[in-house]
Amino acid sequence: MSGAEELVVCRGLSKRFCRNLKRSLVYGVRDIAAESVGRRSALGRLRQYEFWALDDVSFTVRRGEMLGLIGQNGSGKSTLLKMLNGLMKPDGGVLTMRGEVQALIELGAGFNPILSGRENVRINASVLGLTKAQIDRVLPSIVEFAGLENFIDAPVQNYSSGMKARLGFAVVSQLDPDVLLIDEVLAVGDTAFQEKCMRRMDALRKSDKAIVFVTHSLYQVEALCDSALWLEHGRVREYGPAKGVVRSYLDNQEKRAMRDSEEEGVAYEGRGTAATRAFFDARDATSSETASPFRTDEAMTIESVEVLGSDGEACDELPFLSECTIRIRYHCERSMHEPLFNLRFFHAGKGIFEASMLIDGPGPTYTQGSGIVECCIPVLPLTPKVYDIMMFVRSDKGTIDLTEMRTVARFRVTDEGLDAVPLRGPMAVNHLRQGSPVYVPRTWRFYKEGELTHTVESKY
Amino acid sequence: MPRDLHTEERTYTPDSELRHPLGLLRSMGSDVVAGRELAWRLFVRDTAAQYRQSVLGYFWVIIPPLTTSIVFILLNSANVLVSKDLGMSYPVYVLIGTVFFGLFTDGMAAPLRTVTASRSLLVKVRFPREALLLTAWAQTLLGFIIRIALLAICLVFLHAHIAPTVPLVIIPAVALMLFGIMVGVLTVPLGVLYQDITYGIVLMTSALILVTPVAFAPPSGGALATVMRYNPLSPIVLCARDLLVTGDTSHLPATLVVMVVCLVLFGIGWVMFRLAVPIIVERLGS
Repeated sequence: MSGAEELVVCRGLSKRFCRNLKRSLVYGVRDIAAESVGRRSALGRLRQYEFWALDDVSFTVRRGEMLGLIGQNGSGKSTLLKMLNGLMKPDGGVLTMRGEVQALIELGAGFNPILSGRENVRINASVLGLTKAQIDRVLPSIVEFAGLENFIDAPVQNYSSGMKARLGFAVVSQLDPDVLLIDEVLAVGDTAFQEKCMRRMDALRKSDKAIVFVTHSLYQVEALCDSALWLEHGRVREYGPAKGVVRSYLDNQEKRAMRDSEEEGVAYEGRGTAATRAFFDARDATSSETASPFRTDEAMTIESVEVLGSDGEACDELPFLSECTIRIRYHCERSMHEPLFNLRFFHAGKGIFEASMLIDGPGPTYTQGSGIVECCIPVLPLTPKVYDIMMFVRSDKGTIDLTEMRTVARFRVTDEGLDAVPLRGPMAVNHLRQGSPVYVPRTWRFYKEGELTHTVESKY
Repeated sequence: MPRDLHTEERTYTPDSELRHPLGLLRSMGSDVVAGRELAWRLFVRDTAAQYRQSVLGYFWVIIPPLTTSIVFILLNSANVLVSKDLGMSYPVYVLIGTVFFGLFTDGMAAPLRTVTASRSLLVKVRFPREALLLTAWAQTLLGFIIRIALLAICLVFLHAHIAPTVPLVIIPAVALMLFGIMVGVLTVPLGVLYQDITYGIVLMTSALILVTPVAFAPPSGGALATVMRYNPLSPIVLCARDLLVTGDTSHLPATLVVMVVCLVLFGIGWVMFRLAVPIIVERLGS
């Protein structure tokens, strides 16, 4: 692909916007005046109330390549798409577009509500650059693709929003540009229509076009795009092969969520079920006097709980599929008979698995004073996410509570070590990050007439 | 079919398009060609939409000048207005005046109206922007045809004398439309950003009708006479009326001069409009 023509070449592209409407209009008038005498106004600097909506953005899209634009709301994705479409001028940098450019920015833009679907299709197609002869030729297939044969002569104001979007997509699906810009439009209509759209997208992807695709669906970016550009506050945070960018993006999102939860001082997750919600609410209610989850009024005092990495150091981040040790320091005044430690791993309020001496059997017969117990898990089978550990201790064959159950630690499994498993699937990164929390090795075997024909292995 | 990518290569930089005047002119020309069909569609769309929810439909084009004429006729019959010898009956005089003055006000309002009607398209889709100006012209021409047809019916009804120079009326008619559209195009960039321009145009229309020989002949002295003499609309309206009724006019040269000036200003307005659209789009948001 590296030899293919470069259809979109973007070098140091910048765009500034104004936060204040009145100022924005004043600057608009000044810019028009400057433009009309062939000058550039306020080149390369910000005026009052202005900010960089795009700042020094560079990338290239070649023929046959699909680029995914990702980023939070307001990171500049739509602004960039508008500039690629030639709707706005850059305030810095150079943008070169080669070949015919079409945008699927808002389906049905310019539909007039009181005109019929047919009239609107004619206008829409004409806006998109089709001639009358071309429109006459493709009109039946547009109507058929949209599945609106019975409603095409009704005014568009009687259409549902899904019907409007279907009609809009049907029109643009007839176009054959060199560069296609797509802005989050596939999330409309029923499943059957979405399937139609995805098939059409896939066909476009394979048909030697350069496609720039804005979406919030990281699954789509990973599955469909060759490369991805991650925008943050108008700047390029990362640009490269889609899988890698999606991976960093997801990792960053989680880091931020974890940081936010620490700042707020409450668990952002772990409140999913009614039971855990009640637990957290109760904890929050008493949090003024018990800032730490460790209490001294119980039969056993838990002094600390640490998560240790493979190097034996305490940490709150573990690589994927690494060794993990939970170290508990405790103290009991009186002698305790057969203490049974229990660790439950939670994600988003749901129990994932437990390491429990109620299953594994008791430790020493009697314990008294201070001590340490470690639970070592050789390979922690958890996918990259944030986890909470809840703990309780019982004694006397599990009949007596030495401590109540409470959250004692939080850690994050990072995507470091993700390459330890084969990421061959089209949505591997997303599914490991956003799918089920437990990862187990497995083998898929395909048989035909009793013969093993195919094997897919996923081991570590 | 492989396309020639070099002909379809576009480079966007912060530089003003005016720095490459030849390229600018070339793309203006090609966009007019490319925008013709779209202009027609937009014209049909806006016109159909404008009158589909109306019982009187296209009569709305002629109702305002008729109303204005009736008001002036009533004022005249009450001797509120002092009219000299007009060379024709007062109703004929005022009807021709308001109908032709309407060409100017129609033209003036058309560019901003077409741009506003296509505002959502403008900020989302890249299409030849010239289509909007063509649509404005088409709407003004439609108004012209309807006005002239209904004026003809009225003139027959009033037993007015029609001069043989009547085909030449097309010259002042085009001049008035051009004048109006020129003012409209020049004010569009500001008008899209600021509502004040719309209000200003409405105000200017009602003020201008009084300082243009629409309902009464230019007075021989005083401030109003001076204003009317230097009002570039005056010779065109007088010329139109003369060509229609008396067949003898001294205002044709002045009309042609105004027309040429308007044409030049229209060209400047067109370039400004083109340069302003990307800036307008970013200020309007989505």
